[in-house]
Amino acid sequence: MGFKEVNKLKRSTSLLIKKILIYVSAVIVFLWTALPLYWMVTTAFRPEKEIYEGLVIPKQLSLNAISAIFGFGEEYITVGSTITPYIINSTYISIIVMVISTILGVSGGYALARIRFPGKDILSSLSLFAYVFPTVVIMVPIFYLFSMWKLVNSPTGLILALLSHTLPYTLWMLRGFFQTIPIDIEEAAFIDGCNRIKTIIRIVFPLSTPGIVATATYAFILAWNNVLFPLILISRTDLQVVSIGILNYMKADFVPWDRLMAASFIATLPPTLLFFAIQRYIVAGLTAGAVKR
Amino acid sequence: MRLRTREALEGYSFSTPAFLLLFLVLFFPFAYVIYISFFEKIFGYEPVFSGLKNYLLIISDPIFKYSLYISTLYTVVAVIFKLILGLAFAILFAQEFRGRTVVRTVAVIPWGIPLFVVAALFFWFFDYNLGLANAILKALFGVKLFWLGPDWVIPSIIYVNVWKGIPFFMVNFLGALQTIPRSLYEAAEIDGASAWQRFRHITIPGIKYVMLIVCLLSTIWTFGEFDTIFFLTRGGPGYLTHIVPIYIYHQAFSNFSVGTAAAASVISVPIFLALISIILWALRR
Repeated sequence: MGFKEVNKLKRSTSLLIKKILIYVSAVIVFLWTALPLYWMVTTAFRPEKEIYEGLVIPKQLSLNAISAIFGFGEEYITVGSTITPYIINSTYISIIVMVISTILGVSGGYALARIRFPGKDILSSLSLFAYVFPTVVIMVPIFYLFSMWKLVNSPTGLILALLSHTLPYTLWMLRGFFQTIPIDIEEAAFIDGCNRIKTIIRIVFPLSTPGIVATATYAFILAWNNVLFPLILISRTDLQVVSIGILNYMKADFVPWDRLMAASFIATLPPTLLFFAIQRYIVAGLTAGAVKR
Repeated sequence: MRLRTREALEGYSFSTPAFLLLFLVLFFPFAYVIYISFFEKIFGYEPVFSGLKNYLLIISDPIFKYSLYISTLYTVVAVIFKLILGLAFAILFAQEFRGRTVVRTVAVIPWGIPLFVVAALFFWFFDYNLGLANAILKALFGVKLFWLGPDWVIPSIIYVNVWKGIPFFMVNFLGALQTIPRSLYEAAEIDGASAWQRFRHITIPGIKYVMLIVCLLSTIWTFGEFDTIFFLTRGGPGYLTHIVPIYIYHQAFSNFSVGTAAAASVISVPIFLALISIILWALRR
């Protein structure tokens, strides 16, 4: 065997090892992520008695838990025993938060990206600071001030509190999206006699629709996923949102596992599906400054 | 000159509504938490000015010292694991193999799931008698763990945080890896550079700013994260997982002591400010 053949053999073995390594790691990555998810989904869709047999793979499937959390086939339905009011509250509160933070975010974000005015850099940094800042820091004053302002146990109060988290986000992200629109197009519109409002509606909006939609969607997700503000501001069950609904299932002395997992599964569908629809834009927005050179 | 003034006026009228609202719900509460931290204040009673008393009280509180310690430990260990595993995942998905899209999509799912669902999910996954975690351990090694018991609770909450946090690192790293020109690797290979040398001298420098930003963001968010630990352990067993956000919550809503809760909130602010300033610098660079 010549020198060349030995080298060739070495190369193909190392390629084979590399290939095996890749597939083994892919299986590990898959199991690491999928096993906990598998556990939630299978528990949500199996009959209650099977759960206590300790079986890892379900023998049969059932929609009992899913229909039970919506109040079907239950003997006693009280507020709080079904997830329906929580889902309704979460949906409408998140939609209002999304709409307000998008409207204010578009106008503010545009100003920060395009209009020259004193203090603009400070306001830009301020919105990033506000977005990145952990909300636990303002947990105490929000509760204290909102109690004084009669905003505890009120949807308005919860919406205002959630805006403290979503609005900085929409401001910062939309500022970034507007900056990516070539300024020449806007200047051309100005020269053609369009004023600021006209330019925004005719040029900026159509070009940044994907960015605006993605940012609005993420604001919805942030509102839906929030735990802290409903926890401290809402104590009335009929006003409560889905995150705290899940907590109430977990607080029971005997946790109804099938229902907890069914409720978790239902609660995770809207934010997760929306997240996958917009993921591309979210990633690009956050670290854009660091990636491009 | 008149044009300039007009433009400035436009700028203010476009941005005022947003920042006025932020002032009301964020900047004013933030100023207020600093203000009230200098007062002795119990819910339902008038505040009494007490200078630095709240700060002295919590600094001498062994539970708060432990909270700072356990929050730091939790954050540092979790971020290190997320960094290493996120980078490993990203490098894996930068390779070509069959089924890559499916595995990558599954690997991103934890990012999209709300924290409160992650908590509920692992509450069940970790269940001693019926959970999948112990079923797997029993089948493989014949042992069962009290995952949320005193011995294992800290590794367990770190595990949950890492599981949820990896995709954020992975996706950002994957994006950054794609900006590194292939020709660099090819040239290095021709020059006889080993895989480790290529990783050390091409991959790492190519993604270092993304690494910096992602790690700092994750540090801030992990330190300030309340949801999963509150749902899973409520700070227990005992005080074992009493991280700073839980400490603040308990001071305010179990002990009704607004003043000390405010002081505990304010104490971590300088750290956050420093970390965010570095992020701003890295983004501007």
